[in-house]
Amino acid sequence: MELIKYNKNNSKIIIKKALAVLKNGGIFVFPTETCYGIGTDATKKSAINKLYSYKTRREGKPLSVVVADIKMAQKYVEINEMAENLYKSYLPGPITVVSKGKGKVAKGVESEYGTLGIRIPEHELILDIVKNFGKPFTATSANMSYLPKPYSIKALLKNMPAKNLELIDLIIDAGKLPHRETSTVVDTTMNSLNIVREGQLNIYKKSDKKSILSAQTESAEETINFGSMNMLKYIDEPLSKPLVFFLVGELGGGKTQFAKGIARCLNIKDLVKSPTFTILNEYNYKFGERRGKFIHVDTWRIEDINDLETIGLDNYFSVNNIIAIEWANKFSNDLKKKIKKTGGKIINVIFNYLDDDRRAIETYE
Amino acid sequence: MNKIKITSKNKYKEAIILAIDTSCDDTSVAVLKGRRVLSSVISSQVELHKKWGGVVPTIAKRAHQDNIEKVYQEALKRARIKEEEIEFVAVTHGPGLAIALEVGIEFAKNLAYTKKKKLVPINHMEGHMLASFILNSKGNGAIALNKEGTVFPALALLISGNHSEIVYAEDINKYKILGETLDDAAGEAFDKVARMMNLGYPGGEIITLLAGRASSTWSNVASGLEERNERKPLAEVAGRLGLPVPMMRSKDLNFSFSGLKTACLYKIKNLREKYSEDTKWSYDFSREFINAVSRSLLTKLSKAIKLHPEIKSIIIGGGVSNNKYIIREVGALTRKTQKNYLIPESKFRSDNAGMIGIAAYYNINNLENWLEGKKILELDRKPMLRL
Repeated sequence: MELIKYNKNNSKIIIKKALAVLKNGGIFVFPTETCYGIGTDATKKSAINKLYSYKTRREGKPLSVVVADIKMAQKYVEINEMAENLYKSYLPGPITVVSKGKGKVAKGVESEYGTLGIRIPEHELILDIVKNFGKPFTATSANMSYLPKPYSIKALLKNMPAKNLELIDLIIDAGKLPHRETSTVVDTTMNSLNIVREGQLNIYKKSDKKSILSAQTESAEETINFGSMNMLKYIDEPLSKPLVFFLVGELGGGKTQFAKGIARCLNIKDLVKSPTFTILNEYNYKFGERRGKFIHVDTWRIEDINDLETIGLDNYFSVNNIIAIEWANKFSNDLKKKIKKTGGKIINVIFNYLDDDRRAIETYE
Repeated sequence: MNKIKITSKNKYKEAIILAIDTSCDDTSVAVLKGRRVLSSVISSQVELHKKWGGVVPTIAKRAHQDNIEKVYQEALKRARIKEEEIEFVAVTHGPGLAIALEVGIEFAKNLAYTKKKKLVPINHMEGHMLASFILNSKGNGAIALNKEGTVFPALALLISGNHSEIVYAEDINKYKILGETLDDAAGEAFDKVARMMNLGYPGGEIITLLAGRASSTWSNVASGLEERNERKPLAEVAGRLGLPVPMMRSKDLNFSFSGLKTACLYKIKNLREKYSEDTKWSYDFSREFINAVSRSLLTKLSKAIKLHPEIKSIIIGGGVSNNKYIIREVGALTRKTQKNYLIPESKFRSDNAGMIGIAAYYNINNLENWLEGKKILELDRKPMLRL
């Protein structure tokens, strides 16, 4: 192991030494604008295995890798509009952008879900190394598993077992780094707008559907009223099967307000709040002789249909229950199949913006 | 009467408390000795065996029983405490996602019943409320009291991804919600607006980072916390053209962030069209967004203080209070009132089991609230539980 102190004048030598280590599949410790990182060739299997003898792998989490720029990133991950936006506004900088990987790095670098974190540190020396190397290297923090993030080499080496120390080939010591938080990790693979839009187009061709009600609401209060109106239409039908509202529209479209309307019609006194965080809220209702549950679901944060099973949604598709699902279009086909099995009825509610407070809302069976 | 028993002479003041929270996305377990948090482990920090193979959905993993056992073992290990030393098992019984709560409750009930420990059911929000009373393993805490040293009655501003509440706390376990969000929570507004800006999930932190690059108008307000940027402020979000402050004119103490969300959607659309490729607008916009959220919280908090001049303290809790812009303004307001200012250490502001443990500590010592024997088996989840 070699330790070399970094100053403004010896960057050329350091770059040369770092490249030699990388090319041999070795690992090196380097400074970033946050804490010290540990790097090794992200495309070389033996190098990654060596890294995992140094620190254990965290299941489900990709390793992040350093690249020089968006162009290099594009070779390894699929950069969608969201990711591109982040690269433009904030990189180089302390953000790790997670995208869908192209499988071009060594096994164990991408997560089990095929995602990869990209980092472009705001650190000239590191950018120079990666530019010269022409390939990504790992950017995980230099500490061993469960230890604090290191901001100085002294802190890093304190109490380090010999068998870990032996694995490090080079340490670039830039002294004590300012104590800046580690990079923020943003996942850009989740609920991509494109997929959501495709879903809407495929499923809700209006010509195929029978319109029940439509309205132009001018305020949140009117959207609530329209929700009540829709619920009222079904409340007198002797429903022996669950009734499910698919609420479909952009963020801020009025979906939660509509659900408030359903609850109001069902005499629910509890405050109906957005279920985005809890995913599923459960209320008891009583309307005349009818008693059941009103289930308010938001799939915005959900990536996988199996998650809906896990939260127990299937159990709620039963007699007298009324279910409103925000972003139902994300899992439209699967949900339809499930509901069909129970003989339940689906009401599609589509929200469109007109302007600030005005919404065009249409419901179809 | 209202004096909180910080130097409690009760027999449980050094009790070992195991605390569990599974109300949120993570499984969290903490071990406390009295008010001291010896260890606090969150599932995402623990390596789990690749038992399932292939893709494991996040929520499925959270709901998996195996997960909690691992986190539990890790928490004991880090605290250097053996299972038989645990005297109390505290667990969140609400509010939260039913199926997730169940995991924690079943585990806690099983442990308490079979190993003959006392079970303390805790409201997640009481955890946020009392998180400032946590001491770290060395016995140091974040709480600063004035000479009088009396905490209650107090007002609490609890702001997280799932909650925005102003609570009147007459004493431990005597709480009344004065105001709350009618739709989206403050933290949720951050994530949703970040999504509109195409910033990924969770985007709340990114908005705060972007705000750090705002032009001088906002930097001046920020008084040196971020890099100075002398660019001219973006006319579209400055001054009167800025975003509406939600619920400014409402007389009650409730919050609503869905209107702000809609206003953001329009503003973002316009700014995108106007600047197309140049995304620098996002810096000033982010700062203005935080400003709107912050002013909404501040307006209602000061209203509540005026309505309740008798309070001794202002208590802060919840992950949104980790936002440096928001907390700076809340802090400034509180200092002006000369009340006690109780704010948890940063890591105990967002969801964690340490706060469940400290809430249990006061339930045990001040109220002797716990379940024993067969009573333990009766505990059920309460997804919509309120303070």
